[in-house]
Amino acid sequence: MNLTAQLDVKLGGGAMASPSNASRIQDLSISSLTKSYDGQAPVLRDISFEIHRGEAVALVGANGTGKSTLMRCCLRLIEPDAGGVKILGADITGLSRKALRDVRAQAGFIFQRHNLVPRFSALSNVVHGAQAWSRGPRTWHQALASKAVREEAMYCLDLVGLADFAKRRVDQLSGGQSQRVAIARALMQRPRIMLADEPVASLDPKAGEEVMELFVRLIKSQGLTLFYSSHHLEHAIGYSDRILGLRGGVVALDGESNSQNVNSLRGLYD
Amino acid sequence: MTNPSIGPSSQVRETDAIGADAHVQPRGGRAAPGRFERPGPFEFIAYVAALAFFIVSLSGTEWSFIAFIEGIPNLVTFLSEAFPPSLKRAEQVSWALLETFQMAFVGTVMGVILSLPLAILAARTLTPSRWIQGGARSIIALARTVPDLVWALIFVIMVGLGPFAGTLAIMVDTIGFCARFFAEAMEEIDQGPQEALTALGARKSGTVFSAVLPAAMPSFINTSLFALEKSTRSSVILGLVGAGGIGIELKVSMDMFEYAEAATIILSIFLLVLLVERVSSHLRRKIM
Ligand SMILES: Nc1ncnc2c1ncn2[C@@H]1O[C@H](COP(=O)(O)OP(=O)(O)OP(=O)(O)O)[C@@H](O)[C@H]1O
Ligand SMILES: [Mg+2]
Repeated sequence: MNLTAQLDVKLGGGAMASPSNASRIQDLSISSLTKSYDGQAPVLRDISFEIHRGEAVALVGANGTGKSTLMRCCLRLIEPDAGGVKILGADITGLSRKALRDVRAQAGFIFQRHNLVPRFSALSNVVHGAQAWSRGPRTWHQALASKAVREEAMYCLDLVGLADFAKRRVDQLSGGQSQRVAIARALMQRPRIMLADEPVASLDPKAGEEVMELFVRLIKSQGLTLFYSSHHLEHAIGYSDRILGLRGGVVALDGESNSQNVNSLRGLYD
Repeated sequence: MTNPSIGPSSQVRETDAIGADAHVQPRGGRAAPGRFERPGPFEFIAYVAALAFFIVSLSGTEWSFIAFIEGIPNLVTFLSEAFPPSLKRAEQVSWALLETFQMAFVGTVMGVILSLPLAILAARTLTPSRWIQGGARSIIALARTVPDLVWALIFVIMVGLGPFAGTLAIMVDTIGFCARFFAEAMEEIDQGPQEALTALGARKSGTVFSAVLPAAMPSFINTSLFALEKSTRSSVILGLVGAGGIGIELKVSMDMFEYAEAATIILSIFLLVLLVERVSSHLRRKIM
């Protein structure tokens, strides 16, 4: 289909560079990142790591070790105290508001809670994703959106299997369906990298498995870089190329996923 | 017990017995703290001062049961002259009543429209800066703390006698009421969708129009309907200072001792306010 092919190019899926070439490009580079919440002991101390284009990296660590803090710092949703964050080639620590918006636009972010606008339809929520690249009132609601935007939003809903629920209010969807709408909204951004903070933690095991599987498959098929956190060790190992383990505010583990197993990760939680 | 069948009645009796036993049986426990806290010296002085001021205020307000009892015959005279209400000026009263409601309606709508931007500037989660927030809050506080009758007097000076002055007064009164509650509603909604839109690079306007306003809308409508009820009640009295509406009709009838006409006006005010309240509470139940 013409539209699909067109979108694949936009989304970066059509023209994937060969992995050996691609792996040299750093899509996310964190250097000496430090963050403490007002006066308390630092949550993150001197964190450094890189994520390469096309890579899928899982972040694990016990409750309260700062996974969410780290992921939010990647887009400056939380302001880091010190250190550098380079994402998609841009050092975001010193950017103006406008430039920061442009960088955020290219990065999808999936939250643990779907964070959809409850009274709006699934379609409107996906149309909101177009605010990443289109300004003005026409992306505030599906009824105002242009034909092209509505069709692209339908395409994204179709990718997550919810085209039939386009007009359904999202507060009438199940948790798994809501999270899929959130994924569609992120895809609507035409992102180049996807960040996900425990994307399926609020779902039951079966729905969680399904959504995670769908999510990673979509990311991979479009050749996006993926950085996600999870408490589900099978998910952390199974869907990633590499695992980062946080402990005591530092990166305590950084290794290939296929050399890890559930038991080797348990040490992070002691 | 001779009847071995387990009917509902015997079950009830058994349960009762168990319940009663549980209450009779003494159980160990610890001494409970005293029921009341002994007031501290400052608290005690404050209570005494409040009581003293209340007693002084009784005489300040010329509070008198005797005057009240002695006044009852006057009330009876008024009521006997007021009934049956006179329909002599029914047409005029109807027009005045319509004007009253129009003042309330237009004033409320204008007030709600102006409240929205003001509330956005005043909301902790949305304001561009602390200074602007402080400024917006001061304007809202001014609109709220100055009574509507005073606003009406000011607007009569500004635009002259008539319903426009009253409508402006209601608009300002509505701003004082709505902007404050709108701001609170926007502060209280779930911040998640706003964060999601910020994360995808949306502008502030996009966040406000696609996440904040939709989520706060039921609360806005609720507040606006309350404002309309409140405005209807105040539009009735603004006529007393010449700011339009039915109030002036009432005052004239009263001053001329035309109690039967006054009764018609009072009854029609009663019906108008009741109708607005009924419709508004019906609408509120529907959106909730
Ligand atoms: N807004 C905040 N203000 C103050 N402290 C915070 C704030 N957010 C998080 N923290 C603290 O920072 C630490 C790290 O929190 P964070 O949410 O990043 O951990 P996490 O690894 O994502 O935990 P979880 O596995 O439970 O999601 C915790 O100790 C938490 O109490
Ligand atoms: Mg977390």
